[in-house]
Amino acid sequence: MSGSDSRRRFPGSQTLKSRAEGLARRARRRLKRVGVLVGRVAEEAAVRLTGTTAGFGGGGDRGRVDRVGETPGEGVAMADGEQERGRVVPPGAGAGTADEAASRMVAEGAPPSAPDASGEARALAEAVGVERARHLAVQAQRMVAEGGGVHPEAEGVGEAGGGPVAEEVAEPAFPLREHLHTWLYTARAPSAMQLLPVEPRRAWVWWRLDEAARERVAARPLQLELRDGGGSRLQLHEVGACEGEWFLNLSKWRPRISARVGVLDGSGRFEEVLSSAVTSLPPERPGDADLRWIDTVHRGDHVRGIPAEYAGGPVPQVAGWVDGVGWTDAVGVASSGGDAPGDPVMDGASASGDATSVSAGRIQGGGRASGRPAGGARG
Amino acid sequence: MIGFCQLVLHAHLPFVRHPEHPFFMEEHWLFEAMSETYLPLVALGRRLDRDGVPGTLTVSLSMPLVSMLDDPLLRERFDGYLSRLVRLAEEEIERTRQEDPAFHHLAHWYHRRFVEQREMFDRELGRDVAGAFAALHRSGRIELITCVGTHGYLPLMSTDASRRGQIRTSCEAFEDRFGWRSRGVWMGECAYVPGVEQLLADEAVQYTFVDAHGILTASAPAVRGLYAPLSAPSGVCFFGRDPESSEQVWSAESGYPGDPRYREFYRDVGFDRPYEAIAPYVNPDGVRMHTGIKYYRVTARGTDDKAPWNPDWAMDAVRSHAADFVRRRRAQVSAAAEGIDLPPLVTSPYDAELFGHWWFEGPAFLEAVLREAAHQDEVVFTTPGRYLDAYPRQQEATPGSSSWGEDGYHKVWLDSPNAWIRPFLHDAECRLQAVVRRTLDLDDPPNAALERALNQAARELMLAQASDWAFILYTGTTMDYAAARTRDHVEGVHRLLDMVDAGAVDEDVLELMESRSPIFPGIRYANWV
Repeated sequence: MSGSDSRRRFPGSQTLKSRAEGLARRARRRLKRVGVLVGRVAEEAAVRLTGTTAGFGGGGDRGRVDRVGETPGEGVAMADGEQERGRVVPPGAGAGTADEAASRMVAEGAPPSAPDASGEARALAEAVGVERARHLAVQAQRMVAEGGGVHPEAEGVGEAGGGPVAEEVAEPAFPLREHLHTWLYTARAPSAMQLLPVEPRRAWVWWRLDEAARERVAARPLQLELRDGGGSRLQLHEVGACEGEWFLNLSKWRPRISARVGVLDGSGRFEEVLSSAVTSLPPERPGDADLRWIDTVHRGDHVRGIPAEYAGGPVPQVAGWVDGVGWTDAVGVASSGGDAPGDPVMDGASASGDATSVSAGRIQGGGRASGRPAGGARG
Repeated sequence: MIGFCQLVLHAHLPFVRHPEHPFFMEEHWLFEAMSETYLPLVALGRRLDRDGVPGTLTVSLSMPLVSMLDDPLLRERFDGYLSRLVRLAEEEIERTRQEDPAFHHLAHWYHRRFVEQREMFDRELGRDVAGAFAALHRSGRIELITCVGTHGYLPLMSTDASRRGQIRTSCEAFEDRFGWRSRGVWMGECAYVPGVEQLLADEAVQYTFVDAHGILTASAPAVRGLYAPLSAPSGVCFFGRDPESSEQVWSAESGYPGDPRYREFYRDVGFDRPYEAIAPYVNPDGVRMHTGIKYYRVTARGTDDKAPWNPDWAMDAVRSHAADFVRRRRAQVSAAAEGIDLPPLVTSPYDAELFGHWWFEGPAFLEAVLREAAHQDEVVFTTPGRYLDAYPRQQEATPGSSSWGEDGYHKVWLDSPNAWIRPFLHDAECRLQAVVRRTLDLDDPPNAALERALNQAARELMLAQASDWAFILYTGTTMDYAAARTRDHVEGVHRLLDMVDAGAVDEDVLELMESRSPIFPGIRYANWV
């Protein structure tokens, strides 16, 4: 991927310099307003970009507009079974200096000292370049905003362009926020749930319960469950609110996932209130794509790519290629499956084989792979 | 002939048109691109035609861009933009005569350029830039195709109805505008998700493009790698982006545009001159902006001490880089030809605006590539349509979901800074689909006003779905404007559907909304089922 793709599309008629100036101006304004030192990160990163903090017109303070939903981006679910809620953790947190710095400020609830923040921003700009530094500035701004300031989305609504408005094309007096809010978040709007792929191991989900569903939930805390394509639970999070959005990170790639919200009954059983459609995650590596066609391996499916050390014997947890299907990682416990590479999988079990001597085959166990071309040579 | 190379230029800008303001900064996205990219591309095509140079380009024009190029108000404003540049160049000629003699010849150079562009736009093209591209298509110099709707990001839409609406509407609008069906369709951000191939096939689309990993993670191993398209079961062919040739142009580290002889993008008199001197040529509210007059060259990475730009030196670099580009493609196809059973094809797609706007010498580079290629016969510069005419049978497989954005998937358009727009968009998509379905189920068709309201609701939805807004929110550039546009259009959908639900259309409001967004005049709400 070309790193310079981020230059795509006109970033306004502004230069990077202007944009940095804009970021700096906003950061300063927020700094004053909310007194959160993390704003210095945005400012310092922006300053670092061009070495200037000269004023930049346009924009301007607007009244605060509440973020949509009751749990706005309230957290980022971490690896399967883990979660971190009530904190804003930028994507990729922990992966590098920039994000670590930014996330720590918020996650620890105590922003580092201004000099530290400045230093980290400068180090960031030097280490990762202008584009990434600018991204951090945006992230930091957002954190500032969600820490009590104005969310970036709330700024400038209705002010686009500013300037005079000719009478003949005057803006209709749309009660913008109220109208949208009314539609989206009152009894008039139906229940809805969307689960979208972001990356091979990351998805985003939002949901909204209508009045009837809210009554059904009553006072019980709402739960968000992420499931694999076969319906097995991958994650369970207490989300609390009847509308919200989450990013969900997976510890390993899954071909398909689904999500649902509901409540736990007295015995801990999940009582579904609303569910998403099953969603395919983008393939992570060659061969992954096929898995969207099948969730479980059936009798007759050919498996290959079994780690060599399992060849010829029981396989405790098989992971491997399924010809015509792709990579799978949860076939089950081996029984007396085929002994030779390419042998069919036995019922409810896996197969043995040899990763070094795979054979072409085709799926025989049905599934939606039927009718597609044979798997052919792979690997 | 050993193999092929196809250069694909995707031209798109979001629909920005604000008649309510006498000066609107975001409209200058269009004006800058017209001056620096679109007019130079047309000019190079006409020169190559005149000189009988072989070789072709593929150009995708999004319909929002075509609508803006065709809009009388924006044409008039662009003419004014060029006139202002001519005046600014005249002032610069006078100023540099005494004050800055090192730049005096450059001031003359810019003056000539702007005068010639105004002449070309007004007289030679009759202000019809989109028509000029169509003429180049008819001459065979380019293969002109369209793009998905308003550059909607297909994988993140909540319904196939939305995807179909975007695809079908743009295909119909393209045919209405140019008189032929677009053989190919550029998917906004090269963003693909399985299932789209059928929607494309339904519109008789023959090909599209994905990034390299879309091919490499396809449903079956791509036996010809990236050197041939994959044919989905629906019949639509997917050409994969070649990383090597992309890198040569895109890379900030090793790409051609970083050559010290090329013009520096960020040094512009709009920022370098005292404000009072350039005030008439920038935003009246005091915001500085690019004017297009830039005197410096890249010089060296990371320094503000830039040397003067020398157009002759820059052209030396262009010729050298064009020769290098062709030489590398020859080496590439020669190596690939040994391993596959068809002449290898290198697919090199770029944003058109890279050439000219970001990389000022880019159009000259493209012209030089085709002129250089004319001196050899190993690599033929072709187009997807011509290639598929010659090699219609391709390996059958479905690409993996992918995009050409940062990291290859969807995070640029769905991440912390912009996720908030999705519930709004999804709600609007679902509501529109439900209302359309209900309307179509009625025994009697809706009256004319209701039909217009439904069509406008579909139009507003398409405008809200433009990937540009999420992109801008992600990159943190003109965020206020992007947020406002998203909200305005989504709100428009609901307001119109409220009217439809009530069976009473406020025609004043409807007319106002129609007049603000004169795009897709033939839009049909029935496409949203």
